[in-house]
Order: sequence, then structure tokens, then C-alpha cells
Amino acid sequence: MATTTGRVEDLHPPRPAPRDYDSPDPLERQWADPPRTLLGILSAVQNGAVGGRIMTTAFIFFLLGGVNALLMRAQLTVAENTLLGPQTYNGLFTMHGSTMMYLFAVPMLEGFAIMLLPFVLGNREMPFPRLGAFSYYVFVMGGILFYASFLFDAVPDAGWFAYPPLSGPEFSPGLPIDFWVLALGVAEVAAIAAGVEIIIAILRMRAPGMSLGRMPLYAWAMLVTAFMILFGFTPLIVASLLLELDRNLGMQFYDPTAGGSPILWQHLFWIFGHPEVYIQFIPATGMVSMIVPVFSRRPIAGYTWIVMAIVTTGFISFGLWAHHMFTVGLPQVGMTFFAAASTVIAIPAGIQIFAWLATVWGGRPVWKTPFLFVLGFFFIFILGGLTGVMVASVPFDWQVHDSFFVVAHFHYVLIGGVTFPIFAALYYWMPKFSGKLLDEKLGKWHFWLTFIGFNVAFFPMHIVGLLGMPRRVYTYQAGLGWDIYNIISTIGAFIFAAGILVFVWNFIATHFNGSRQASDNPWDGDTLEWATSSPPINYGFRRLPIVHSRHPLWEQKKLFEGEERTEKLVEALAKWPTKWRAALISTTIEGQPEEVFRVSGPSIWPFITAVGVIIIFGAEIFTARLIVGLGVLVTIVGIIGWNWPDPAPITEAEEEAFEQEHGIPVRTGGSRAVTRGGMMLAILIIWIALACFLFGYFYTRLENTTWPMDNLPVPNWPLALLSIVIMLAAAGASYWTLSRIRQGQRRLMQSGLAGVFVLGLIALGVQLYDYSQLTFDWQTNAYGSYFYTLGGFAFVILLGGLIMNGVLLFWSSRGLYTARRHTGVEVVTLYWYSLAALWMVTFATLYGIPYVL
Amino acid sequence: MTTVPPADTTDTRYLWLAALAGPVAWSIYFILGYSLTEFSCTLGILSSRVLGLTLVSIVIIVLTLLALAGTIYAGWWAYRLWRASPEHELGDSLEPASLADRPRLFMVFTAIGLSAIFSLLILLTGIPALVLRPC
Repeated sequence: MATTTGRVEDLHPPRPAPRDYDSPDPLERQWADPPRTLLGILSAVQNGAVGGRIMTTAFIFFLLGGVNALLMRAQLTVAENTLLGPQTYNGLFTMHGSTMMYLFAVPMLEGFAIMLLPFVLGNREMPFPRLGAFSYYVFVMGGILFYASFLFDAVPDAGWFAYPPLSGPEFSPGLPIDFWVLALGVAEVAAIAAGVEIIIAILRMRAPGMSLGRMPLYAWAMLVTAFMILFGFTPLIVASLLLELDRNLGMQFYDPTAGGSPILWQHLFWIFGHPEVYIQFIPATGMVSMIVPVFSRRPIAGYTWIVMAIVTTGFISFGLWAHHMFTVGLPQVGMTFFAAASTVIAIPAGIQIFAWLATVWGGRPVWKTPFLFVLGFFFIFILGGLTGVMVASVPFDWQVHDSFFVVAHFHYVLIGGVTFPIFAALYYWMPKFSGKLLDEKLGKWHFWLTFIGFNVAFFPMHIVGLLGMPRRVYTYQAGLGWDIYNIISTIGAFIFAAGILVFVWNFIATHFNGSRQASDNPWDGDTLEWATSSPPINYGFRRLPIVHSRHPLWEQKKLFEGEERTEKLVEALAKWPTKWRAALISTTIEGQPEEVFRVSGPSIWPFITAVGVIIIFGAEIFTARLIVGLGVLVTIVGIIGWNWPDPAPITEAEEEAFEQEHGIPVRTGGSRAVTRGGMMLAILIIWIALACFLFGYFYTRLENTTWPMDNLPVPNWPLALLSIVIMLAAAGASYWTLSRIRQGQRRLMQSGLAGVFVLGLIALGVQLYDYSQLTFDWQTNAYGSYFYTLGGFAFVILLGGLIMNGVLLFWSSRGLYTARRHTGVEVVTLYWYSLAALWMVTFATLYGIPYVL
Repeated sequence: MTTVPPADTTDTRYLWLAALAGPVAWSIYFILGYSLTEFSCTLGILSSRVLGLTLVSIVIIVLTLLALAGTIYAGWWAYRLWRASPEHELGDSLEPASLADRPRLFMVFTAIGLSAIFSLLILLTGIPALVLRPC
């Protein structure tokens, strides 16, 4: 059914070699990677460079995590083994789990997205290239910091979930858990940064005509995933922050003797931890949905059903978290909420599986390596899903919790459901990324060794778990009937590892032995990335494609034909501009062109900012507070430098001329849609964090009979009310400021900005004064810890607003803002609205709830 | 060859509202129901028994019915948007190709499907309250 239409040579004029910095073609030069000096390498922001780096680094962490696992298996091979001691074993399972969950799966999938999305969506770049670069540096430095714990003999050893009180200051004094919290905290920041970028790319940067209903399923999957990352990682960051405050500043969030609750950690952690596995699974399903049609030679069956399934899974996954806590003593009906959701989530998974099977059944399968890994995924993931429905049942879970049955379950769903699709995707898209097809024969060896090795390793774990073998034990007694299963598992693990080594060999041999260059579309794929060269030129598409179908390369005879206006637009963008990097913004639902904007080029600021962040987190591990302060300074300088406006490459008159001719605005100062979108997502993240803090607050309130506890007095509210009123006035002044610049009244806008700044400072001063009068501090008890931390959070958000206002004041004095160009003022105003609301909610809660609850 | 059919009168805000109503209704229902259960079991509120059920269970059942009604209504509303949409006149089939060319209809169909599955989930979540003691 698939045809090779639409790939005639008029799609591509003759191209210069990729990454040709000295190319005579101005478009090529404009989009080239920076020269390969140290500064150039550190300044690269293009999606190809950033995505490739993230994926390579993530794969190295995969290998490291795998070595951890092999050591564990070696120790467990025979009963009462003395290869490794308990402390080493604890460190290994912590590092293995943490590496795979934080440093391999999510970064690998986000790296794929950054690399692939612009091409799949038919655009030239991601919306925030520098944010992607920042995400990479923070990820790699955080990961190195994490493994540096080996050098300090401070390997984290409380599991990848680090439950207090074990992970708290009393039972884990010293550095290991600080490494866990702070080094991984950096990686979590990386994930959120990439998530913001992915959302905006998918919602707003698609080729003309690519409506939501025509978007490739991989894009749908990444869209849902990116939102899940924002909602899922933020609770972990908050939980980790509270843990670190307990450990290093003597706070009492998780200490039950001071009113805190260790169960709170479990709630917050698993509110992250369960969606985390779907954050990994959903992109994998997106990849499978791209590969199955191509290797079945027919379009996917049930596109809309799959979209519904992905969205459903994304939402429901946030209602599963307490199934990790069924043995903790939650109320019965409370547990059934989670049991119901844990069971029903199998329905959308099943819908997707049936859609894929229907596609394969109705097609003509091509038995190449990517497809083999997809078949492996079907087999293994379905088994894992079945055991998942088993453990969703509370009574059954009570029997198998903390046994190897659970280990078997989650490895089936994670290796089957995430790792196999990742390998399928690597074989499938490698020719596109690097221009070389991986060897088929080695690929088949890789597949069979991995598939057989996996099942030999993990299937026996179901049995040995049901026979009673617990998790996270460094050894076990002989003669319990577990011995034979452990031997088999270890053999399987090493067969699996051999398969991985075959892949590594395949990769090295292909790329360094001069194999032949892959064609543009070696698999005869249907989606837009296959209309670029292999590897793609830096700007992806010279002329943006015009999309009329879900399968453009199979169903469209021409890629650049459409309405006359759109044809003229993509033609104009192909020829002009060549002095700056232009990309297109489209409307959300229909994918019609809305705006042309300038996308950032190479910059060193993401690297500098990332260095600042890593200094903060790294120095805090050693409680070197002066250096933490230095890190804060470097970060602020980095952020300011990052946002330093570039001079406009064209005049407002030229922008207007383009708008006259093509009917859509040009914004070389940055896209209004992208900047607004970015700010709104940042505000969303802040509010999710606030919700987590408030959840902790109310949960802790519930766990204590009196509030405030220890006979502390109820707080004095008048000054807090005053500060709230002043903040509301600041928000009003912000609105006034924006309305002035909309009229072009720059002087008045400047006085408005100054007024907002002053009001914010006064509110801060009033509130700080009230805090100075408190008779308790953050170490007194959990109530005190929340009082200071929640307040501190509001102060930090306010400081962010003050800094932004200060920067706006500076740039407005240089005449940057006009009635036509003032997106910066607009988004900072949005920030101040949010800030005022946050201030109100925070202090109303802190000062009001003790009277009411 | 046209790129997109002429825009119809359906405000895009309604399309998003219809699509997300089911999931959002379930989310609110879930948070309320679970929090109420925790409050009741920890603080002892709503723990008196009425008609053989604990008061908190009755509240959960009521919440279930409300959420169910809201989600089903959202799906029915989406269905009415479908029939009212001018895109509907282009053809009645659910074939993939026809939804690919009709972005608003695609949103509406997604809304109906989401509403169906979240209705089922809400129902299944509420049933245990009829059977089990809450705490």
C-alpha cells in the first residue's frame, strides 16, 4: 500500500555537506554549528548537537547502571556469597536504580525528542535551543557529580527512593544521601527544562497544515510526556528539598518526633515515582507507533484511539502512586482509589496494543531489527502488564510487596516497555541522525541475545519472589529453594549484557569502519524527518513542507504545494532571511502559520548558568555555604547574560513589510507565542511546587493533634495582611505598566516598573520584619519548618520578580521597549500576577489556617 | 488541494474544554475523594454510620455520581458539537482519513472517547465505597 511518491529530486536542491561552516550558501552558514574550538563546542545549541550529546551521555549511564546490576547478580548467584558485603550491595542497588531511572531513561528519551521533533514536525529548530543546551550541561554535570560519590567513598545506599528516616540526618549522617539528593536534583532540573521546550515545540512549531489530528503519534506521546514531566518532577524536587533541609539545616519535615511525617516523603516521592515510569513508557509507545506502520507497510490503525489512550494514560498515571504504599497502613477506601486506577490504566495500554497488532495483522511485515525489537517489546511488556494488574490488587500486593515478584514485574515493563523500544528507535533513526545504517546481522544477534537473556534473567524472579525471596538483600540462606532460580537469573543477566555489548560493537564498527552512507529514507518511512538528508542539514528543511495528511511521504505527491499564500510564505522563508535564524510558529489546533520569529543561535550562557547551578548543588553537599553563594551569583549572571537582548537584525519597517506581504508578523526580538508559552509554563511549575508544599503542610497538620504544636502561639496576622495588600497593589501597578507601553508611553512605563519594584521591596520588608519577631525558628518543630520554608519559597519567587523588573528597567532605559515590541514587559507582568496570587495564598495559609483548622 | 477546511463557528476554547472535561473531572473527584477519606480516618469526621454505610462513604458515592454526571455530560455535549459542526456535513464516517482532514472533529471525537473511559474509571473507583469500610 505504501508508495514512494513525493520523493522526487525537486524536493531538495543540491545540498552542501552537513555542518559546513564555510559554506558559500548564506542559509547554511547562518545555521552552521560553531567552529570546533572549546568555546565553540560549549556554545552549540542546535537540536542535532544537543540531542546527540544527551543521548550519548544517557547511553553511557545505561552501561554504568548495567555494570552495577551485573555486580549485584554476581553476588546473588549463590546463597551466602561473600563476593560483596552488605554495604557495597546497598550502594549498588541504589546506584543501579537511580542511574537507570534518573540518568538513563528520561534523558535518553528527552534527547531523542530534542534531536527528532523539529524534523518530525517539519520545522527547523526547537523553540529554546539554549534551554536544551542548559539541560544537557546540567544533566551531564549532575550525573558526574553523582558518580563522584564513589571517589569520596560516599556512595548513596538508601535505595533509589531514599525513604526517611533511613535517609534522614539521624540514620544517614554524612555525605552519601546528600550526593543522592543534590546530584540527582540537578538532573531533575534538566528534565523539567527539556520538558518546557518540548511542550512549546509540539503545540506551536509545526509545519503548515499539520493540525493536531495530523501530527505524528510520536509528537502526541512527547506532548503528554512533557506535561507529565512538569507535574511529576516538581513534587520530587520539593520532596528532595525538604529532605535536604532536614539533613543540612535541621528542619523537621520528616521527623515524627517533631511533628513531621516520613509517610509524607512516600506520598511526595511516589506522586513523582509512578508518573516517572509512564514518563518513560509513553515516549516509547510513541516510537513504537512510528515504527510499526513503516515495518507493516501500512498506516497505523486507530490513530484517534491511540491519541485518546495516550492522553488517558497520562492523566490516570497520576492516580496510581499509593499502590507503592499499600503496606503502609492507608485507609481501605483510600487504597481502592488507587487500585481502581491501577487496574483501569491497563485499558488504554491495551487499546494501543490492539491498534498496533491490527496494523501488523493488516500489513506486510518487514523483519528488520527495529521491528524485531518492537515484537520483543510486545511480548515482554504484555507479560509485565499482566503482572501489573496482579499487583494492582491490594490483597495480592500485600503478599508480594518487597519480594522479587515486584522486581520481575517492573523489569518486564521497563526493559520490555522502554528499553526495547529505545533500541528499536536507535536502529530505526540512527541512519537519519548519523547517516549510517547499523549492521543488520549484528542487530539480530543483539536482539536475540537481549531477548533470551532478559527472559532467562527475569522470569525466574516471579517464582523466587512468590517463594518468598525479599528484595534488596545482599544474600540469602541456602536450602530455601531459591538457589536454582538465582543461578539461572545470573546466567540470563550475563547473556543480556552480551547482547548490549554486541550493540556497542555494532555502533562502533558502523561509525568508524567507513560503512556506506544511508539514503534519505532507507526504511521508506511516511513522516517528515525522512524528507531530510541523512544526516539532516542544520536547518532541517530549506523550504518548510506543507502537510495535508498524517503520512506525508506516502500520501502526498508534493511536499511543498498548498494554498497559494502558504506556498509563497515557505518560499520566502527559504530565501530570506539569511542573516538570522528564522523559524515558524503555527496555531495550536490547525497548524496554520502564525508568526515568524528568531530562534537563538550559539551561546556560552547556558554553559555558564549550568556551571553556576552545579556549584550551588555540589557545594551544598559539602555544606560549603560561601561557595553556594558564589554559585548563586554565577547563576544569576548567567541568566542575565542569557536573556541579554541581541540587537535587532532588521528594522521594524522591514518587519512590517514582511507582514504586509505575507499576513503574519515577524518578531526578531523573540516570538511572542514562545515567550508567553515559556513564562506560562514556568508559572505552572511554580504553582505545582506550591501545591506540593501546601500538600505537605496540610498533611502534616492532619498528623498532629494541635496546630501550632508544642503550645506555640497562633501567628499575628496584621502585618501579613499588609504585605498581601501591598503585593496586590504591585500586581495592579504591573498591569498599569503594561497598559502604558501598549500605548507607547515609555516614560510612564518606566515609572511603573520602578513602582512595582519598590512595592515588592516594601512587601518583602514588611514580611521579613514579621518573621524576625517570631518566637520559634525552622528547627523547633515541623510547624516551624513549614512556616519558614513556605515563606522562604514566596521570598525566592519575589526575588525572581524583583530581578526581572530590575533587568526590564535597565533595558527600558536603553529604549528597548516600544508599543510594537514589548513582549518582555508582558511576560514579567504575568509573572507578577502569579506572584501576587502566590503571596496571598501562601501567607493566608500560614497566618490563617492555625485559626481555622 | 486544500490544506484545511474553512473554519467553523466552534470556538476552540469549547473544543479544549470538551476534551479535557472528563480527565479534569476525574482528577478533582480523585483528589477530593482521597483527601476526604484520609481526613475522615485520621480526624474521625464523617464517621457516623447511616443506612449501614459510613457517612464518608456516602459522601464519596455522591461525589462519584456528580463526577460521573459531569463527565457523561461533557461527552454528550461533545457529541452535540460534532453534529452541529459544519465539518460533519463533509461525511459521516469515522475513517481515519476523514478525521485527519477535520481537525475540530478530531478534537470532538477525542473528547467523546475520553469522556467514556473516564466515566468508566469514576464508576469503578466509587463502587468499593459501597462495599468496604472506609478505614
